[in-house]
Amino acid sequence: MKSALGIFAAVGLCSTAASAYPTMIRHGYTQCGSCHTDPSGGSLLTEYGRAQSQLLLSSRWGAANDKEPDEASKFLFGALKTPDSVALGGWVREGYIWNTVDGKLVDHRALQMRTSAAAEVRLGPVRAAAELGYASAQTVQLATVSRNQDGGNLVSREHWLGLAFAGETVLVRGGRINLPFGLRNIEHSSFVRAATRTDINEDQQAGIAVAITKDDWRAEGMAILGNYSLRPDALRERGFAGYVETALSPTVAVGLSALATRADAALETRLPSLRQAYGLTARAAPWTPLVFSLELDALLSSALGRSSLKTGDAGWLQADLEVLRGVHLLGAAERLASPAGGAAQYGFWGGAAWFVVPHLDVRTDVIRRSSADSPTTHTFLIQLNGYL
Amino acid sequence: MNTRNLLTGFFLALAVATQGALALSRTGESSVTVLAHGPAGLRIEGKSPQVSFEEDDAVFTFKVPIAPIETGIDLRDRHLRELLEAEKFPAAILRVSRSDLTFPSQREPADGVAKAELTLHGQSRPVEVHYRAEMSKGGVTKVRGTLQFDMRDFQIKSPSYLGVGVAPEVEVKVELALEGA
Repeated sequence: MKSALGIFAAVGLCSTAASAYPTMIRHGYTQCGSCHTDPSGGSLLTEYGRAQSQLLLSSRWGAANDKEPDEASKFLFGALKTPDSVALGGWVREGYIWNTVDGKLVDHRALQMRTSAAAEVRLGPVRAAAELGYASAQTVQLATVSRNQDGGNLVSREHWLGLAFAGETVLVRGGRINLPFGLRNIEHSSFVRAATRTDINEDQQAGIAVAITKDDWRAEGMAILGNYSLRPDALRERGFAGYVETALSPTVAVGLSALATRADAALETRLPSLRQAYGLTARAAPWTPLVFSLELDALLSSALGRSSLKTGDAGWLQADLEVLRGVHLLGAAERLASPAGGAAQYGFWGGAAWFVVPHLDVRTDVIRRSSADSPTTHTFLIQLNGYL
Repeated sequence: MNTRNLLTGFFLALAVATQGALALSRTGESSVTVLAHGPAGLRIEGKSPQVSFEEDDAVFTFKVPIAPIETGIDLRDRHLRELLEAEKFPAAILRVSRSDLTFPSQREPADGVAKAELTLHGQSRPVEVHYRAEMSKGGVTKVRGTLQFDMRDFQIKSPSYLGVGVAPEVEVKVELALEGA
């Protein structure tokens, strides 16, 4: 049983990440909306964001630091010109994973992690964005559009319609949207993302969100109306999620998050449930190459109609050191004490990421997880990400 | 007016005259911060440690060279220098009349709003400077000043880069330490 749990935990680490880099705070970007179509970060890049990707993320290969971004940073390397009002993008992320339990290799295989295309259209204050992709069997199940039980499915992680006003500092959106909670880190299998179900891989939900972005603070609140990839309706959560983050300086930001949802049949227990999460986040770049990211979440879960309230916590502390332009060493420690019970789990991440050129990055991770009541697992993951 | 009030008025006038005649020089700590705003909360902050200070009988002159201002991104620094035509107009200059300033004492800091003249991009325009000056025990006076201006008043075109524009209103903060010479 312990082995089975370990395998399950290890397989769950198949990272299928979108692109979001809270560590851009090292360059003074405490906000996300100038580079991403989502005001809270992640997903599609704006033209400005594409330029910053080449200027600040990718290796420079001898180019002067003040060299203008070239056609290579644009959609399809500039081969297809798009109007200013249209942003297009796409991802092809492939990987290979090895999982060990108590030192024994139990699983290794290629991963089709992300294959999708996205677009955003801006017509005056109106914004419309959508992503459509393909996911192999039994993956990204919370974002599927089609219903193929045994094979691959069409997925749409986000699709929304919005209205921007007040100098683009306010965006009201309706549709399937990333849940505004915690760090928008790309490690979607980290305990903080998995336990709060707020990753940007598949945890988006339908709802109405209001994002406010000022130069020294930002916030987003969302009325959650449910995940319509889930059936029947009883499985869908309704409630609220939101965060507020303030920039103490151009390179230090702290935030608070909250989430409360109820479902008639929770995914794990099939019982009427209320789940809550309250989080503290911090990002700081004490030195431009070094960024620390922290998230501490209190987790509360209760079965409605019963007087039981179960509590837990999740934490994540990551250090990102850019040793050369485009080359990052990554280390993280995490903890999860699940409200569902069991011994606390601890995880340690180590790895490296290299943004080789504007449309290509590679990443390797080694993840060790252990707890008192399950075997120690190691996951080795290598991934190659192409961004159109 | 009685004798007591006369004496009080005399010493007050003497104190103000003495403070106003002080010759000041800049010590090590100084910085200038330029803050511009873009859409969706974009904040662009340029910083430089280089602020020079000169004075004559009537005017304090603060000079900030444009070229050393750094925004954290090299390309943006170059855009800033090009926008302000730094080779042609290498410095921003702020002139404030002594008579518009209140001077601090050991016991009491001074703050206020002074009318000043800002020369930038070859254009000179009046601006208001909010300032606060505190004198420490060592005789060093820490001065903080803030001002706002509109780029268009100085014939500077509001910058726009890849669809991201910058608002023409700019804030400037200056901090420097002065000591009596």
